[in-house]
Amino acid sequence: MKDIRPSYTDNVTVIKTRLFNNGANATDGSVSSYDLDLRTKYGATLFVQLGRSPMTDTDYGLKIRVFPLFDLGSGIFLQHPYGKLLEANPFFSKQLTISSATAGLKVIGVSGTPNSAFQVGTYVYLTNGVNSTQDEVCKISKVATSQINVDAPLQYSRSGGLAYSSADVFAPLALEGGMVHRVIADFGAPQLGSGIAYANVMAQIYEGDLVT
Amino acid sequence: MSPIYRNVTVLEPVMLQQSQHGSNFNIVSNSLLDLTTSKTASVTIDVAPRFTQLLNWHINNQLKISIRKRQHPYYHTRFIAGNPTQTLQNYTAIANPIAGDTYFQVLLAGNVQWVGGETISLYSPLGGLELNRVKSVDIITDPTKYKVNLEYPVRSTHNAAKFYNMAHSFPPINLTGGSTYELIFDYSDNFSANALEKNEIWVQATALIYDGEQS
Repeated sequence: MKDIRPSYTDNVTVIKTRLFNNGANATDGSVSSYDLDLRTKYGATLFVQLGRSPMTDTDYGLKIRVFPLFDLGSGIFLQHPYGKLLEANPFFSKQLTISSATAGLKVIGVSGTPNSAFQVGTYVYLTNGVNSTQDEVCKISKVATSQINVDAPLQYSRSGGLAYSSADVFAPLALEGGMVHRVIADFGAPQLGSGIAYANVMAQIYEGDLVT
Repeated sequence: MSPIYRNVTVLEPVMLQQSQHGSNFNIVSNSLLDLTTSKTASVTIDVAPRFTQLLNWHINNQLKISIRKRQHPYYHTRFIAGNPTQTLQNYTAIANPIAGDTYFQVLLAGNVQWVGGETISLYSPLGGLELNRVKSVDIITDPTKYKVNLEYPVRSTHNAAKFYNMAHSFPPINLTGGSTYELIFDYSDNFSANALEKNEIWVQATALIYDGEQS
């Protein structure tokens, strides 16, 4: 008797960047893209979330588009015009300074009292700032003076950093195998603004089956 | 080839208690379901409200249920909220049901409000928590003794059994493999409440895991 079990690669970084909707920053533009090669895979699941900084231009939200690329040979690909779209509503977020947070616990210490933007049941985005490698999104369970309770253990310990209200977590997106998928995070706007979005796209790839 | 399945208990019955603001007891429950080498799973969740204090009884907050990838910033979240209720009834058994019984008898002053088709919960220290559904209600001695017929047999033998209405089983939730999932039951109360207020709810979860095939 042989067992045939699936094999996955989890936590593959697809896009992890800050995006400005004015594109004025030399290193942080308004668009980021990545080609996810699933030509020899069964498929993948895409996990998308974003954090918002306090925005002064709220007319445009972040768009995540996923297009199939068809292999024409010799390294040439054709981008299919129809893709999958995830679109975040544009709106203000509020910011708090983190005073303390301990990995494994469910409490974030903050300076001041969270205002009404930090609603129970919504997501809060935690970051250490530019080039942070310890970003995470948590769901708010309760708020109190100088404190935000979340409903699951924190991933990282912190002695500083920022907590942004109104983060977004999208439903997972299923991608077919056998082709390359182009993933585009677009924060472009036709007029100048000063909003910042933290776009994070991760993939879990279904590699194949193992026979043991 | 034949499929490989496993039945697992994700969360043994646990009671969440919503009490005075700031003094909640066991208000959030987190449990894990490892599907890193499995194909899919189907998760079944049961909830069963109960209470110990009648004074100023009300529920401010709903129970929030999330299922997401664990330790991962990219959640697979499901939000299920039961409606707050103020119409909970609990009854003590005249005779404790034993495993296999398809009815129980209760003693109370007043009419049994339960109706056929309603999901109820049974709890006792010996038999634990189980859910069932009411088929019909017969009067033994009007108005104090009633026989409640059940849709299917009682699973365990009970002592000091109590019965509660307003229980609920959610439709199975399908999950894809490749991740460890976290099941979160959040019964937090963000409102100030009377000291006598105490709301309680049992939660439990099981899963049928589809691991792969055998040849």
